[in-house]
Amino acid sequence: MVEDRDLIERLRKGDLRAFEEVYHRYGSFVYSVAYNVLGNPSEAEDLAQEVFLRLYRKVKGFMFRSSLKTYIYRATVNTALNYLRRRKDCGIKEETLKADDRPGERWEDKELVREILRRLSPETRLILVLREVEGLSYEEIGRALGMGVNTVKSRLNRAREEFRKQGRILLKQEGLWTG
Amino acid sequence: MDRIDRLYEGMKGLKESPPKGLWGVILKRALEEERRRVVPGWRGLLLRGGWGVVLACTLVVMVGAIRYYTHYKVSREAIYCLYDYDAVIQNPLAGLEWEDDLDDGTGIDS
Repeated sequence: MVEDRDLIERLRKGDLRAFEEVYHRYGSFVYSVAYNVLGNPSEAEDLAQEVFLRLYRKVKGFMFRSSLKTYIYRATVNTALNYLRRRKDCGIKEETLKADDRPGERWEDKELVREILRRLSPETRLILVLREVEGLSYEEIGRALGMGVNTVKSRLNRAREEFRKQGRILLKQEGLWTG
Repeated sequence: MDRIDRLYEGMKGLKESPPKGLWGVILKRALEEERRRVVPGWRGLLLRGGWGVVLACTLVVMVGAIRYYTHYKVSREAIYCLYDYDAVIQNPLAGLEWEDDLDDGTGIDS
């Protein structure tokens, strides 16, 4: 497998095959994080385009202070947070989660999980997505969010608690709570 | 394991794959940017600047037009102040009649 450093060198020379390779390596991560944090496929596509085009524009100035992987993680996280800040409610767009207007219909577990995530703050949602959906290590999350490993661990603990709390509230609201 | 635990574990199944056409869109936009970067002259400037350049040109033209108009208007009003403009319009040579009486020193009437 070609090293990220080699890919960057080729990309600097304008090699579009290298750009494609970068996309195939990280496109799935970028899109998945965007989709799960923003909750909207069209916004997720816009975000993915923005992240890769920014890399394409800035690659000539890439100083290798961090790895390409970390650069992509950080760019994805920062762009997602910017999108959420621009959106006033800071939540997942309603049109993607319409279980509320289907009375009597059973929630799928996947929809329930998405609904619980929607109820969390953007930062809490983001850290859970990075850890539980994308399976990033504490160190990788720390580098992406610009914080130490211990901070990541304590934030994740709080995020898990918040997820459980919101989960209980939702299940009770929907009459699905049996605990 | 209770329901909440199962839902928490369910997060692992939320991984999404990008739509098939996404790479094509990114590549197209990257190539478009590259093209804009290499086109020289006015065309390149327009391609790079887009509406910004158009807006800047419009502003320059507007400011020029306002300045020209105010200058012209001021000049015209200055003429109105100096002359009886209607009389000048009716008889443009009226102000030049005095030249007929001019004595050029030759002793011959012109």
